[in-house]
Amino acid sequence: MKPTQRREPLRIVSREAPVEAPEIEKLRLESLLHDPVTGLTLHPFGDLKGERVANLGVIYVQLGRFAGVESLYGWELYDRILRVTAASLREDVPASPFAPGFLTMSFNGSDGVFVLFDLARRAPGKKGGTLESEAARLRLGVIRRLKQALGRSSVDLMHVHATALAVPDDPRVRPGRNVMRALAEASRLADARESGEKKSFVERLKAILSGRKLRAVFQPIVAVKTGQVLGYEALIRGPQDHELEMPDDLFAVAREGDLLLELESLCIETVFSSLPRVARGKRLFVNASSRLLTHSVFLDDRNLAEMKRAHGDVVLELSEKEVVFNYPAFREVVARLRAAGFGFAIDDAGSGYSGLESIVQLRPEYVKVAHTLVSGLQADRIKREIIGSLAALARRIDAELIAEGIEDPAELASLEDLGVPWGQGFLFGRPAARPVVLRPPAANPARPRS
Amino acid sequence: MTVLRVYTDLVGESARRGELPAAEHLAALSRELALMESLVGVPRPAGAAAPAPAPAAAAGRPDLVAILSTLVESYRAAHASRIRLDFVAEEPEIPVSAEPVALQRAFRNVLDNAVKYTPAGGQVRVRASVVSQHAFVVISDTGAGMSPDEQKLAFAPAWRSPSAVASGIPGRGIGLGVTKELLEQNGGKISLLSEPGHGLEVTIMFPLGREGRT
Amino acid sequence: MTPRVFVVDDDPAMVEAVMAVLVHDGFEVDGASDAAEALRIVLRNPPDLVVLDVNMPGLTGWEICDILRRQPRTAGLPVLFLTGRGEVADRITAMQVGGTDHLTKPFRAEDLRARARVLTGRSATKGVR
Repeated sequence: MKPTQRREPLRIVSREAPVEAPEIEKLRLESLLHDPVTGLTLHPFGDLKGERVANLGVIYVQLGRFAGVESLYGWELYDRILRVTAASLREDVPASPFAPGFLTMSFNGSDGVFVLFDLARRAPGKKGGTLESEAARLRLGVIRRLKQALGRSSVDLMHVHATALAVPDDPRVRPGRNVMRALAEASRLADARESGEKKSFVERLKAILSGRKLRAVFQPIVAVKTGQVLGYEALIRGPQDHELEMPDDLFAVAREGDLLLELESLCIETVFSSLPRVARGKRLFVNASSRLLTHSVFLDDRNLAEMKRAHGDVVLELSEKEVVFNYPAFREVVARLRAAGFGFAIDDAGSGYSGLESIVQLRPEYVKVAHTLVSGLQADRIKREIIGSLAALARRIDAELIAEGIEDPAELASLEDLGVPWGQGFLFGRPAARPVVLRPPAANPARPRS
Repeated sequence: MTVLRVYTDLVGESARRGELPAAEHLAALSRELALMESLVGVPRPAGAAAPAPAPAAAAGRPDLVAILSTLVESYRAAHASRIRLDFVAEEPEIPVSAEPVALQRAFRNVLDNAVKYTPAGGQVRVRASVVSQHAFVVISDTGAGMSPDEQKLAFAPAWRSPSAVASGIPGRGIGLGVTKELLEQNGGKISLLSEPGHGLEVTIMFPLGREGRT
Repeated sequence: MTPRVFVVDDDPAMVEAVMAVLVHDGFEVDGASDAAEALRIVLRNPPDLVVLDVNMPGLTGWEICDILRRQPRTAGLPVLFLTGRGEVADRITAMQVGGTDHLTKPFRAEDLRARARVLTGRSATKGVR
């Protein structure tokens, strides 16, 4: 077979005149100014063309920073959230009485959208009140469409805020800077509103902690091939139907209120005092942070002995995102806990960016594959490849993979093909105070399940 | 490594089809294999000719000036729009007793690092000279440089200086360790001189005057 | 129609190696080691597939892919990233900037060929992901 015509592989750049690349620079600059996800400009006053606006109206819609939405849900979901938000605003703004004066809409690059109006050009006689009420209307539209798109009640977790601000022009001030100050002020207002909410949440958390109102639920971890139970992961819940029922919310508020250690201690206490009978004789997987593990309260010999007495086979789950190994102190702690009979697991592996060094250095017995990687892996080759390399790494360090968040028999079949030994997820059983192990339907009827 | 793998695959595929492998594939494979051998320290069988894609003043005595000028040309072709690359040779020819392929790889590694860690608008200079029976090649850049501690660790395998990591430039990191081995196996020496923020100067030294030009 | 592939890698030896593999498989291959120059060529005359190294000085592979995705001419252009082994973060970033697929180094010639075929639509098993 003759090869087709082969071209010169290297473009020899002319040596006489070093090539500047003006068109390429232009493209780079354009990408700096424009956000591809929302389709919005990142530069709030680009569209104002240097004009002075006698009375500028700013509406700022902020997606709650409160719960660290993106690191909770992952970048793909956050992309969707942003797109829905931008689309919602694009749809609702034209109905505003301020619409004739609409100037521009811009993204702040992380979690908020600014809508700018020339208030002087407001539609005369049109009903619909103040800038503030417009902000509220736009906010409700965003929340409604987010609920529609995401179909989850955890949208409430996001605390979408909207603030409004009218900024008169000051001829002594440069117009661009005037606008930037206005935007900064609108952000500050949104933050203040958020922190007011935060304060009340912190009070509610304090009530939960002092009343010891946490509950522990347990979810089975089973063998992918046979359904045999390896153990149970202990998960924390706040009071039922409480705003702070889910651990993400509890920990987010604890972080805000600097109550993380208190919360974690109560979590451990709650877990060990409510172990279900089925968990005896099986491994117990308990979430712990490096903050907790290195604290004297936890490392106290009596405390460790009591934990061992309550359950003799405990694996501590550390999130990949927060594993820190450069501190000799932490390595000592790990050694001490190992000597005391604790095992280790890296949680949420493959979703963080710490790379694989943390996994290799901890030498955990288990590596838990993040549910974002497991979700839909049967149709996503890249996810399968990442899980494949995690499996190869695990083999090299004598660790076993546990796939989290298995919801679908097709996911299970793919995981079995990849040789992942253990699994956890709704398919095998939901977290409950007295957990029930489910036998998943065989994805492939040719595969018998014992 | 990837390049070696690719040419191995291509030659294997030709063989499986019952065809003669393409000459340029064999040459490339031979070149990469020799490189691997010099990295791993496999001694050359007696009488075997060194593969010489690098220009050689005489067999086994490659000319540093010719090697460096070819290398600098190819880097200049790839990076002219971003940084300045200069090569100054104080002699027209500097033959040394060393594996031409190993030399190429060593200089390539150092130049790679220099080019990678020099920001746009910067400069990389290569200077080759002879002083008291030794060939000196100095490669200096205007990049981030290395602190004394970083310099101590630089020759360890798989190491990248914190300033390199902080620079955000992805890098292979095994360059200097491997380079040192390659050079020492061939009678050469390598040393570093740097002040953080003021670039890095890599000095490579070879003894000259081995008896008997072939 | 012979599918056209463009390779961008700062290591000229790698560009040549990729060309050697694909040229024998009936692709028309071109390549460059200078990122800005490569981008200019691809924008002016979009090929059927771009094979893009991740680690490059000057314009990074990420920036190149991002720019390609923003231009209507190249928004749908398949981009195959060549990523370093074990760099999980790289593979995630490859997805985030809109890369179509990736291949970890060192790779087999047949894997490169298979990916190129699938991404240029030459594969009989096109539906398999």
